[in-house]
Amino acid sequence: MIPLSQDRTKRLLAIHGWSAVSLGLLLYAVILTGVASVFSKEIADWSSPLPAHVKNPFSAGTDRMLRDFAATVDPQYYEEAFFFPRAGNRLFAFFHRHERDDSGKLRDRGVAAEFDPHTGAVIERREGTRKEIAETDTANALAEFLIDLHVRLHLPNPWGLLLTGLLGLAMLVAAVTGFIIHRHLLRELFTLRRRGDRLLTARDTHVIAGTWNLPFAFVLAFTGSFFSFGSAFGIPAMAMVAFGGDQDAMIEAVIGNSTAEDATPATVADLDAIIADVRQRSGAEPSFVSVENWGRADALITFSMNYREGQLLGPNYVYSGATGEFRYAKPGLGLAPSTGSVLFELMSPLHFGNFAGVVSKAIWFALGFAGAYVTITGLLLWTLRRQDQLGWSRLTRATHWVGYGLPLALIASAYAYFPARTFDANVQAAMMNTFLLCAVIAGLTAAWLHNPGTIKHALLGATGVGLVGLPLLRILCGGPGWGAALDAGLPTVVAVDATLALGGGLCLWNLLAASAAQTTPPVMPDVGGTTAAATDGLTKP
Amino acid sequence: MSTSLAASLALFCSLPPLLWLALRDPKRLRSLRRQGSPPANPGTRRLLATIVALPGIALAGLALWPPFLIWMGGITLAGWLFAQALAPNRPRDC
Repeated sequence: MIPLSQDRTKRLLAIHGWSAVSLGLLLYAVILTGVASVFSKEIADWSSPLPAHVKNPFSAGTDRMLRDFAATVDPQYYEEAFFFPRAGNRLFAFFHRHERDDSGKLRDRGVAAEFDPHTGAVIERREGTRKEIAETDTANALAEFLIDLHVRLHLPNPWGLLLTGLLGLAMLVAAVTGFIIHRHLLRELFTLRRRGDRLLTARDTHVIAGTWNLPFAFVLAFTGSFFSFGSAFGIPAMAMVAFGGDQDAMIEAVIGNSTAEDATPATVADLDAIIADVRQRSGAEPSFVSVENWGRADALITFSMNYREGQLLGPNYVYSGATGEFRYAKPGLGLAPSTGSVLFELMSPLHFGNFAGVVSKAIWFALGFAGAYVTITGLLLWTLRRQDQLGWSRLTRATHWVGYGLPLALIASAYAYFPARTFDANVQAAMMNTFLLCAVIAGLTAAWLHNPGTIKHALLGATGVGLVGLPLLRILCGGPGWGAALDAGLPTVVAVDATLALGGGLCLWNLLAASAAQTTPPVMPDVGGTTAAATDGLTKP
Repeated sequence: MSTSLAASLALFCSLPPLLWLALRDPKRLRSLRRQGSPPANPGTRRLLATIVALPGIALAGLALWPPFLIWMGGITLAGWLFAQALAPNRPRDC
C-alpha cells in the first residue's frame, strides 16, 4: 500500500472518477448510435428513396445493367467486383483492383456506380479508392454517418476499432460486476420504489433495467468486441503469425475460394440466370455478390444470401463466372462446415438483430435502447451521489450534456444532411461540422445552466422540436410527401417520418409533464443532501 | 410456421404469467405497503416462472432459433416495462 496524503488521495480519486465516467460516456455514445444503426437500412431508404419502390434490387435486367457498365470500365479493375443493394434498393457496383498505398497498406481502387434497378440507368458513377468513393457518397451518407460513429467513433483505423472494442469489453465487465454485486437479482426483478428517497428510485431504475437487459448486454457487448477486435487486431495478428504478415493470403485461405488460375478471356455467363438459380437453390434473396476475375475463364461468383425464413445460418453459393455452372456451397469460414464457422456466422445475427426483418430489428432496437438507458442511468446515479463535491458536480453536468446532448447532435447532423445534399455541398463535412457544433453548443448550455434538471429539460426540449421538424425539412428539401410516398409504394418513408414525430412528441410530453410537476408543491423530502431539482433527471425518466 | 407467428404465439403464452408474477411479486407489494393484494407463495411463483419459460424451452427444443431470440428479447423487454408500469408515479398513488 502506498502512503498518500489526503489531498493526493482526493486528486487521484477525481482522476479515477473522471476517467471512468469518460469511458462510460463513450460507451453510451457507442450504444446509442448502435441503437440507431439497427435501422440503418430503413434510415437510408427514408433519406434517399428512389422515385418508385424497388422490391427487388437484383431484378431481371441485372445482367444487362452490369455487363454494359463493365464495358465502360478499364479492364485493370476486373480483378474483383462487388454488387449489393443500398439506399432505396439502388444497386451499387464496384469494379476494382487491390493495390498498396505508400505505407504498404492494402486498399481497393476502381470504378463504382449506382443503378436504378427499375430503369437500369446509372444514377451516379465515381472513381477512386474505396475510401474516396465512400467519402463522396450522398445517398447513404446519413446512415453511414451513424454507423461509422457506432463502429469507430469516426476515428481512423485501427484506433477507432480498438477503442470501441475496449468499450465493448468494458460493457462486459460492467455487466458481470453488476451481476455479482447485486445480491437480490431475482427478488428485486419487479421492485421499483418511487416513494421516499429519490436516489433509491434512481438506483432501482438503473438496477431493474440492467437486470432485465443482462442477457442481451452480454450478447451485444461480446459480439461488438468481436467485430471491433476481429478487424483491428485479430486479422493482422493472425496474418502475422501464420502468413508472414500477408493479410491477402490469410483472407483467401480462411474465407476465400481456392481455384486454379486461368487468365484466358471468357465472356461472363448470364447473371440473370445465375441469380434465378441461386434464389431457387437457397430459398432467399441475394444480399451481396462478389465476382473474382471478371471476364476470365477462372471467374468465380459468390453469393451471400439474406436470412432464410426461420434460419440464422446459411451457406454462400459459388458459381463459375464463365459457364454459370453451380460449383459448391461454402460456409462463412473455409470451404467445409466447421464449429468455428458456425460461431463466426452467428456473430452477425446476434449483433445486428436483422434475421427476421423489422420484427427482430424492433426488438434489438428496444434492447439497445435499454442498454443505453442502463449506461446513462448508472453514470447519473454514480455522479449525482457525489455531486456535492466540485469535481463531481462538473461530471454530473458532463453526464447530462452527453446523455441528452448526443441525441440532439445526431439529429442536428440530419438537419445538415438534407440541405447539403439539395445544394450539392459536401454532405459528409456538413454533417460532421454540424454534429460537432451542436455538441459544443450543448456543452456550453450545460456549463451555463448548472442545474442538471434544467440542462436535461433544455436539451430534451430541443431534441423533441428537432425530431418533430425533421420530416418537414426532408420534404422541404425535395423528398416525397406522405401522399406521394404512399402512391410510389414507399411506406418506409411515412413510417420513419411518423416514428420521428412520435419520438419528438414523447420528448416534449415528458418536458411538459416535468414542468407541470415542478409547479405543484413538493411532496417528498430531500434525502442525503440531494435536492429534488438535482435528481430530476433520474426520477422522471 | 413463420418466425413472427411462432414468436408471437410463444410471447402470447409467456406474457400473462409474467404479468401475474409481476402483480403478485412479494417484494414489490411489500414496497408498496398494500394490504389488498396478497403476494404469491413460493410454489406458485416457481410454477408461473416455469410456465413463462416453457414456450422458450419448446422453441429451443425445436431448434427454432430466430423465434427463440425474439421471444427472449420480448420477455426481457416486457419484464422491464411491467416493472416500470406497475411502479407508482407519486407517493399519493400508493
